[in-house]
Amino acid sequence: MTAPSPITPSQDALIDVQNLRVAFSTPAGLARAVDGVSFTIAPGETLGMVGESGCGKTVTGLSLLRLIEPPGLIDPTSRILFEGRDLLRLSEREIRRVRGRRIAMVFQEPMTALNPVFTVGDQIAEVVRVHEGATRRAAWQRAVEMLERVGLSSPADRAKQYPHQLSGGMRQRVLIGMALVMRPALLIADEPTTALDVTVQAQILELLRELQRDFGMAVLLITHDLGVIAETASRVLVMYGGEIVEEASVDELFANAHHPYTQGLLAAMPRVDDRRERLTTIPGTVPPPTAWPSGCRFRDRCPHAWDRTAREHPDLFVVADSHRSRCFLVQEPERRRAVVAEQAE
Amino acid sequence: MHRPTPLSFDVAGAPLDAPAPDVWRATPFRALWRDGAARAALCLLVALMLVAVFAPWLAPYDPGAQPDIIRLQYQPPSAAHPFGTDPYSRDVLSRMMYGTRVSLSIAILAMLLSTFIGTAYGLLAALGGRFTDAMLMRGVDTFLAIPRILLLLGVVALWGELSVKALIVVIGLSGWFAAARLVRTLVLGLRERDFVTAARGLGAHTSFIAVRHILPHLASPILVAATFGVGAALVIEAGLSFLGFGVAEPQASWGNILREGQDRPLGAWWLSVVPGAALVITVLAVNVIADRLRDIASGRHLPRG
Amino acid sequence: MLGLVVRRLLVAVVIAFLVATLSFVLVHAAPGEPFSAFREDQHVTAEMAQKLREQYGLDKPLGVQYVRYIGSLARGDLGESFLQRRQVSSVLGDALPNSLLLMATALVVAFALGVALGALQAYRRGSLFDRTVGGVSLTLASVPEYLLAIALLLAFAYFLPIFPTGGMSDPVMWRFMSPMQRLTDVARHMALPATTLVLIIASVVARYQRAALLDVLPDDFVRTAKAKGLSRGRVLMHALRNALLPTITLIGLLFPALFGGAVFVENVFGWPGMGRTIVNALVARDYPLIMGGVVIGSVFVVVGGLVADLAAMSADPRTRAA
Repeated sequence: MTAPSPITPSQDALIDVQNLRVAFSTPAGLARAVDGVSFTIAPGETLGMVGESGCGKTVTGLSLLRLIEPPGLIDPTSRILFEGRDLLRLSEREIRRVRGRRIAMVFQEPMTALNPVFTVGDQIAEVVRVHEGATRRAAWQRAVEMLERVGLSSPADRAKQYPHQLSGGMRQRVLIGMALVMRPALLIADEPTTALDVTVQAQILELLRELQRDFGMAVLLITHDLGVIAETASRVLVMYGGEIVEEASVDELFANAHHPYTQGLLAAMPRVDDRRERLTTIPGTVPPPTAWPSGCRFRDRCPHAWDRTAREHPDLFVVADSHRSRCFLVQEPERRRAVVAEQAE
Repeated sequence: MHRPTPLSFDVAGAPLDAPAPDVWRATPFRALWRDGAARAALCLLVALMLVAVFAPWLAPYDPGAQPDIIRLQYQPPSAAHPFGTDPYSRDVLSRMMYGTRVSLSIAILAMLLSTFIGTAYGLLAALGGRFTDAMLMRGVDTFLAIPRILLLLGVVALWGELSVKALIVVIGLSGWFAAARLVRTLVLGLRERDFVTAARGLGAHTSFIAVRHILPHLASPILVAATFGVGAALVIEAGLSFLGFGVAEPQASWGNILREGQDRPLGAWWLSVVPGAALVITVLAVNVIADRLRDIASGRHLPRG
Repeated sequence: MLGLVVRRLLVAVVIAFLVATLSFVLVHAAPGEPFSAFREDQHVTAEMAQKLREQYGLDKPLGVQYVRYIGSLARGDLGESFLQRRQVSSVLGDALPNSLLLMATALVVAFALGVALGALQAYRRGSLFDRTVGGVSLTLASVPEYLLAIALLLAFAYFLPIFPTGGMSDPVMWRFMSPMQRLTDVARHMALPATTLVLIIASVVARYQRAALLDVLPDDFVRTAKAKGLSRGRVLMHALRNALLPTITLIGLLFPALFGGAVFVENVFGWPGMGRTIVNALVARDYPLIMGGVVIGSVFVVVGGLVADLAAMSADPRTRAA
């Protein structure tokens, strides 16, 4: 490991991701899952990362904890600055001290994310034992406290139970508890509610909000569900084709979405007061990460595409204050064509 | 949920859930040929079978001839007797060659018998309704619980010395259980598949479905199991002969020769080493081929895509 | 869990019963009258032959014989050994513990060794270690027990006289040995036969464990363990704890093979267990002993399998709590 080059943090960001590139070598070629993603998260902030499956958001999350395994590779020019160090340059030992303690992650499938042969109490206590060297008893105490904190009734009894004895919602609470027991500065939540029933979803989101208020950690919320973003995040990154295509505050995004992809996503959201019979969809499918289209990666599905979008690759242009969009329409707004929305009676 | 199906010892590993690409069309033998180890194994087995077939012409001496018991017994390997002589001054090389005939034919024929019975039984159990299935499988479980050698020893005790034909039957009859289990599980899985329902919808009779639709899918796993089975049959026959209850003197079998070496394990080391090495190499070759066949059947030999 | 246990027990009983029935069928299906070959043996007097007929009720109809047979089995009466002139149950009672000692020792060592090797192989998949151990396992799995036994005997008892060539203890010196010395003596005699069994069983276990662990490693909870900041060793333990379950079940399935192997090994090394007793009985045409041995041996295997199954069930919290 070479000595880290001088750190230049942007403002007082908690975590500063610079030019993250992650590729997977597959028999079909090199899949560029994440292709030049940069963002920061401020302490205590909730940043939402939204996009369809295959856009690279999960891989981004995993990269923050350096959980990418071969055949995946993180590009050496990428940097992830956190608490004064580049996470990608740390030794195995050092990154382990970050995982679970300073940055924690909650995954999508509570059904399978817990080890079936250990009690839930054990699994949480293990985090405490490993990171703090606490005694079994002390660690168990902390685990029970945490279980109470995440809203499980009779926590002392629950702690002795096995994952298969708990419902999906309860398991997700356990996972959240396990992630937060060391009071990390950043929580990465990858589709935390997708596998759960709708009513449970609301409860889990409420829990996350409450814990964030109390613990003050920052949250990177990865999801494909704009509704979740609307409820929970303060800022949003929209991802497509391994890149960020739009970033803005939540209010700004919902009010003035610029990028055609974002507009498509918003239009596709079914609404109760909508009298249309057909849902709007974005035509086409996400191209494979082994073969991103040249120029603008969204052009094959974009109603406004023109020849420039095939030749040049757009940067993130400023639309308004802290609102950027990776679209040439920022520079050539007159090209924006009227999109005919489906109106069925 | 992690409970990979426990594999039976004899038939370890035939894939129960892998789609079964038709073995014939996938030309497994070409794929086998490509693999270095399997190629060597195939060559070895072919050579052995040639020896077995042409033993009467290849063997330098009469395997039963005892020219000079006093002076020519227990002779170490020499130019005249490349594998030495046994306690009765018989040439070990010749006996090994004739023994190849016996041991190989017993192994292969017994395996064929086992496979046939096992497949039929398994089909019956799987296609016959729940009660039939339960009953038939209880029977199989019982037999599987009895160590094969014990069963064979029991039979030998009661029937006395067994001829080669009887040995084939007995070894065959003691080896079909695992195959039956395997076939039953496979067929139960296949039975639920759409093409079976479609066939039934078109009015096909159960036995017709069994032969025409289900059997082809069983071809590869059964082939794999049968190949492993040959190795197992070979080992058990040699073992039985080794104990003195298999192929009877003066006929030669690899196990027999091994047995003769037990009186002077170090002094007449060639009587242990030669048949021992032959057994190990042959079984290893069979296992390698079966292993590769299994990989081929599950598509693992194809480029990862 | 209790329900499962009871069900397994019942199944075991049914199988034991079927095994006994099978042996009855075999005895009566064999050519000639049961034990007729023996009756022609010169050692047998006329009274003995008659006693035999009465004892086995050979003059009664088949159905009655069967019922009497099952009845006496249930009572533990396996008849009397022709040659040894004592109860078969007594003879087997002496032999079974010796087999048990040998097999249990071999099983424990083989399991530990096999699991460790298999796990390491999976952890270092594709490495030289993995391929070497894999090659050795495959080869050992192709070697019959009796061959390995002979090889070890040749190598370490004859060529290099480190271990005794047979038996369970030194017949001459046993009387003079202290308990500690006796222990060592038996251990020395058990070394080679146990090693033979260990080598073969461990290679099967290693291959199986390797596959089981490779199956588990991509699972989600392994990723969670890494995300928690656990060291590689601890993550492996997490995975292994799961991957052990199918291996424990495998042990149960290996029992018949273990016993079969023990039969050969006992014969090569003269270890006074069930296997050797049965083979000796075969040579002597001691039918009650032979059949008794076959039945008891099979029942023993069934029980062993049952124990292993129960162990597997209780090791997995998912079935334990059920």
